[in-house]
Amino acid sequence: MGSDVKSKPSYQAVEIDPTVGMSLFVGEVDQSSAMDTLSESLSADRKHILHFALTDWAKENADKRAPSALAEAMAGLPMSSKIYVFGTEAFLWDIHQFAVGAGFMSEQVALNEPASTARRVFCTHCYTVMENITETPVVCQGCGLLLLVRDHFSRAHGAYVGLNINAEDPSEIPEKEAL
Amino acid sequence: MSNFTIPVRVSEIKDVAPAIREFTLVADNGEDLLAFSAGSHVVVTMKGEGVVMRNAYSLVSDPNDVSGYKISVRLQEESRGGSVFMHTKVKEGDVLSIAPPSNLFAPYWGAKKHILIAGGVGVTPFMSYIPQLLQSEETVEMHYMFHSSKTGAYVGELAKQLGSQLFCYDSDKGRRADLSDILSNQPVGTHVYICGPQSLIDGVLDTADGLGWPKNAIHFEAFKAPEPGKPFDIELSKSGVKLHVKADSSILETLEAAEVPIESSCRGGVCGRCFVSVLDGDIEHRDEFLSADEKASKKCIMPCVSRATGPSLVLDL
Amino acid sequence: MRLAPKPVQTFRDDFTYCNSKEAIARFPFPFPEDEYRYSVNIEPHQPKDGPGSVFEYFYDIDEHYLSEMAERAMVMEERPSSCLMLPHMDLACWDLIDVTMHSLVSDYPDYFSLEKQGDQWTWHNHLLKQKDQFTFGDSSTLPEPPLAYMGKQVQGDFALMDQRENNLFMDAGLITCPADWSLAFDVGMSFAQWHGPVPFVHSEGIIDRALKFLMSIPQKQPTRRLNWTLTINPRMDTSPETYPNWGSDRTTITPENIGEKVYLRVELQVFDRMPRSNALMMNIRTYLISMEDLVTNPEWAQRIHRTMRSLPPEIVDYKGLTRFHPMLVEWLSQFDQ
Repeated sequence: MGSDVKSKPSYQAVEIDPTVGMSLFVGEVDQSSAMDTLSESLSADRKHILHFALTDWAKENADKRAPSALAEAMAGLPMSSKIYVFGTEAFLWDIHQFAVGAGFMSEQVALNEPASTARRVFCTHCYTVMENITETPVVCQGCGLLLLVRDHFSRAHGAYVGLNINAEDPSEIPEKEAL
Repeated sequence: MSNFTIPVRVSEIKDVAPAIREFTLVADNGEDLLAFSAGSHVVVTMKGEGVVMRNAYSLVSDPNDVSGYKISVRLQEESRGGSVFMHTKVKEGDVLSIAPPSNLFAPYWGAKKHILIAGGVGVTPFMSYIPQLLQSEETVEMHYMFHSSKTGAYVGELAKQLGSQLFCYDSDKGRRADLSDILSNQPVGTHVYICGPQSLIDGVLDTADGLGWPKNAIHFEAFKAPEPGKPFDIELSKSGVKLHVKADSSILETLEAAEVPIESSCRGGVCGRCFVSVLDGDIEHRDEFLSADEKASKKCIMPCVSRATGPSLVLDL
Repeated sequence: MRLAPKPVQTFRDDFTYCNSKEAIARFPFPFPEDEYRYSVNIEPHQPKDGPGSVFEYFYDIDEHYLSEMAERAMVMEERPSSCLMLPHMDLACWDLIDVTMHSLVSDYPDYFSLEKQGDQWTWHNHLLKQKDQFTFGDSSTLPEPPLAYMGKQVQGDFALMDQRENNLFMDAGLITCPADWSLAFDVGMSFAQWHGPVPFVHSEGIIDRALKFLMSIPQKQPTRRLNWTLTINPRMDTSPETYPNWGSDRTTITPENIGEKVYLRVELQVFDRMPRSNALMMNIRTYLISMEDLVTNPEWAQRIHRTMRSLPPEIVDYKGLTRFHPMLVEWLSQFDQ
């Protein structure tokens, strides 16, 4: 279902842009086959493929700096290049953010459809960031408040905002819904 | 509401190329002028005999220097008269009126490298870029094409600022730039800025596109003086006033001559400041501002450049 | 005559904030017509309504100056993320200092003065009994980062928007009294993104037109608009961060206390082009008035009743009025017979 909130990104299956000189594929490990399929048509000298382990992405990147393998791969690219990203939504936007920091324009970073509906959630009360949230409302792991996960999305945080759902009346506990 | 203007005195005039004259403008009240950003222009109002002309000129001075502004004007014999007026009528000590600096061509500060491509008098906006880029320790490379018999202003000054990062191509000496060479093998994060004739802009855009560059990394000054067209009439719905737009005047100029209050800024169909709603009539849209949907709606016009296709337009003024 | 700043009153806990008769008379009432209609209602920010009006000067310094500055200092202490700046916005912050100081000394010479020797500036704020010397453009010579420094001396929050890629980005801000939006979450967003949750404005093209208009604002031609919501108690800091502290206020409204506890909250938003950075500055000045003070003006009382009665349910929900909106309409109806 579409959202009325315009900050919520929409995605399409990415397609190869044959006009660019170099293509960089970045994905979480379980995305390997999808990346291989998409990159098949490109000769080996025009592509570079990087995989990152699923589990520790958020922890490793708490300092918001690109992992060195990624930073090196991006720095060596010419103007005529494109990055294709595969993984969860939070991963996609982390890579996007690193790429923009390295000088890429948004149009050079193609984000494939997220691998799942899981969201990263930013608690607007204590700023705790929670990964892989699949239901709303959710209890904040930082402040313990019950958060409604809204569709308002920040590309910089790669996260949806979570707002206390029962601040007006703590006895109200809405039923959980899948995101 | 009318536009805010600043009276300025011409404190110095000098020729910086055979067909380009530089004017230094200081505030008539002796105070500092407004600070501005790299790539800014001012609109100068010129009062000729029986006609008022307004042209936009890039500021060619250092943005940090508010004691005076400099503009450089290329003599265009074929044009609507603004440059001829500046070259032949304006003398040191004269007072002109300008609008505050405005910017439609700012540097992209997130860039890792800036390539400036200038053609002829198109060097002007880069004269304010370079001090600010160098002060911020940005990586800059400039490619400057000109005919030394007419243009080629500021080559010495630029060489001093940019050293080996300045590349000059004087057509009168048979030197041509190879755009493909310039754009190939640039590192990621490079941004290109073009100011010059449309053919140069198109050439860079085509070359970059062929090389697989992202469109948003290419910046150019899109606004230009209004082109003449067929004459037509306009009717102002609120006042009932009817005016005739001559072949070589724009709707905006016609409204201003009749002292109809209207805001404006770039006068070249880019900034959107002079937006007017249209109640009736067919429009020839010539601006870069309105979206395709807005143009198709036939309900609005940018009167600085666009015109009627038929005999008349009714404006919501 | 202008109103001199009063001694400090509070916007929290015991809520001693109140409006004088003169402040009520000059309140920027935001509803131009009976029927509620979302409008961008932009006009040039030029003097209007004569001496003493909130539109007399570029910034309106009024009787609440000391109280608002005290409240802002508390919020900035409690929530450092109320003042954020992306690294490329330093120049825009200095633009803000330049524009603000010159405007204040020209409009309020008794309250503020500025001496300049080249780039050596000496600033006196006589209201806050503050004097500082600094080198213009050198943030290390200020006691605080430039945005925090200036923002603590002017009523109204500040947002500084970077203009690039044919868009505006919320890249710096000092937001201590937001009407329920979080700078910490929204920082860096494009214009359409940070308006993402606002109903209606996207489908009707309002956002696109507003963006284009704002991007075209030149230097020296500032623009203003009024925005509004309702707040329980005269609480300035209605940030989502602190919502757990004030959300339950909305359940305390009764027909007996509604006039005293429900406040009309009006934002006077002023937009101005910054000279050196080409950033667009937005000053968001918040005015609060209780319903019982508001209805002392019979025209306003009638008008607000009709406007509240015609609010679309989406707006009632978006502004968080659901719990007390019907009661408010009922209470206001007594002034519209």
